[in-house]
Amino acid sequence: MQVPKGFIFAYALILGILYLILGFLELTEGFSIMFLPPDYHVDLLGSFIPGDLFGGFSTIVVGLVLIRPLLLSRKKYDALMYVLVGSALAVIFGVLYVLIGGANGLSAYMAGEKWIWTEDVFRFEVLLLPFSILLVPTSWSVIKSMMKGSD
Amino acid sequence: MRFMGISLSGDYEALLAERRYEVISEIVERVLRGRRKVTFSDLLDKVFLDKYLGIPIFLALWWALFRFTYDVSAPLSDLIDLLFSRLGQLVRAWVADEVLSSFIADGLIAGLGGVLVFLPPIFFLFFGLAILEDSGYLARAAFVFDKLLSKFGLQGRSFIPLLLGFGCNIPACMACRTIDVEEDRLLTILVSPLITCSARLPVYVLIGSAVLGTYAAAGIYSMYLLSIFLAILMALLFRNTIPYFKGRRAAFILEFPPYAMPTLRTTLIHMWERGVLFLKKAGTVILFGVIVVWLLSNFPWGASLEASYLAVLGKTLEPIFRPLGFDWRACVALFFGFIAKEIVVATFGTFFGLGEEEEEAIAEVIREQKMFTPLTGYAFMVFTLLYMPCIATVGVIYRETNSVKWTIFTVTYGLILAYIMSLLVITVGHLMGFS
Repeated sequence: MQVPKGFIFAYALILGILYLILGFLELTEGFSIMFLPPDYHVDLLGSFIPGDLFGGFSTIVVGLVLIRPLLLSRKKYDALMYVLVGSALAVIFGVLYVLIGGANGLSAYMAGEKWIWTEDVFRFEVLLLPFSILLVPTSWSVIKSMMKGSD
Repeated sequence: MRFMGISLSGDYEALLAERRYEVISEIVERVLRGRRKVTFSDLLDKVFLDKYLGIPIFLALWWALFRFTYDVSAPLSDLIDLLFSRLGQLVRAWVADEVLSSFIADGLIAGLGGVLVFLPPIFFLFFGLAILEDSGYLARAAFVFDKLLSKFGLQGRSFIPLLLGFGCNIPACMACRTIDVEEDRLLTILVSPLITCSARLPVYVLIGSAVLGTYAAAGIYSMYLLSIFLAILMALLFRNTIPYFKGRRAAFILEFPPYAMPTLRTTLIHMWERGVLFLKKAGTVILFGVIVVWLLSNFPWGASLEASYLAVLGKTLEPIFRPLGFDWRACVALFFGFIAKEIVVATFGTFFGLGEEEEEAIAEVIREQKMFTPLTGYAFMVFTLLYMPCIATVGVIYRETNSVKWTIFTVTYGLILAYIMSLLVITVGHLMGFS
């Protein structure tokens, strides 16, 4: 059964806004760490929103790609393609942070140090990964059927 | 017919190509009946070549590649480091002769280990790059950036090597092979060592934390900005002053390949073909360099470091660097940095009898001994950023340009630029009242 287009757009919009807000907070934290004295460092929700300037920028890009269909005609393929690419980008970053977490664990093990796994796992990009993964096959199947219909 | 990207308006080659494709389109329209089927590649291009999101999407993907290269490969580098340090300990325990033991453990094994720790990030980088290339995305990224770079005498394809330079200048120079116009390829190779590689970061962190206090992070970040600014500025300068490059700006005409799903086999083959070159060529050069440094720092045998040949060399170089405020130890550290930039931090550690990993302690001693003021420390960071690339990069530049002349030119202009910029920092700093 194919998921209705309207639902996909609404889902992508919510996810996109979430990525935009969290990405902005991540960017703000990263900026404060990089450019401000320690007393002025911003720390919001610990490792859930890490202070990462470029990571925050990338998250904002994911959010912007996901909400881009707002400015396009939703009858065409283009709008759904933005949803597909946006969700694929979100999956890439989610998987990347899972890999980095695993690498941190291995490094800590080799150095005989304690690995605080919660710092790697409980970051929002990883927690939002399942929600982004769902969007990839659903948007892809709708695009495929639309392309078949145009033949 | 595939979509084609043409940039650089006003160039006859671009206009000719544009006209040629118009004629082809007209013929195709007359011959083929019905509507052309929209392909998946067409749809993806709408997103990846988006006027507003094209560049941000690339920067986000590049950041993902950067993290994949350095963070995910880190345990493998740690493992190699661990294995070689254990091997060194075994040699020290088994070989009784002091000179031979030091040569094998500190020279050969430490040297080889020093090379091999860079293998995982290099292979990971080429793995990620092969995925981007084989998928057909890299050609789009080059096109997206062409308009911006063409204003500075570079072209779209130059962007990828310059970005790779933030990781390591060696793959950056090697990635210039993707630039098909010889003049543009050479120009990109010449400026790519100005991009600050990850090996220079420990030096910035050490000196920044030692003398810049709360401004350390801003000081380090300014190195990255200065790096980009000078690479673009030098490209513009070379394009307008060196006859070989003058007026040779070629049109950037690129026919996009369709997007494809990269296979694991071809990706691994591409990764291996490129990575093994680093192992064979750069590895031998670095190894040789490390052995030379070991010889200079350990002979005359039994003498203190102050009396070693290396100290003699440092004290010989000191008068040249006195206007910049560097003492003989800083000169020696820079000399070590020619072999590989990472060795600069290790050299300071050797001076103070501390290991490379004890960065905090080294910074503390630098502060206590007043080796640098904030101004001379910043000038040292600028010099480290710009002076000659490491010996492995020089080897790769020679191989890629196949020219002694261009290799010497790259090393020489880097040294001159580093000296001028550091002197500028000192002079402007003094004028502003800094010591």
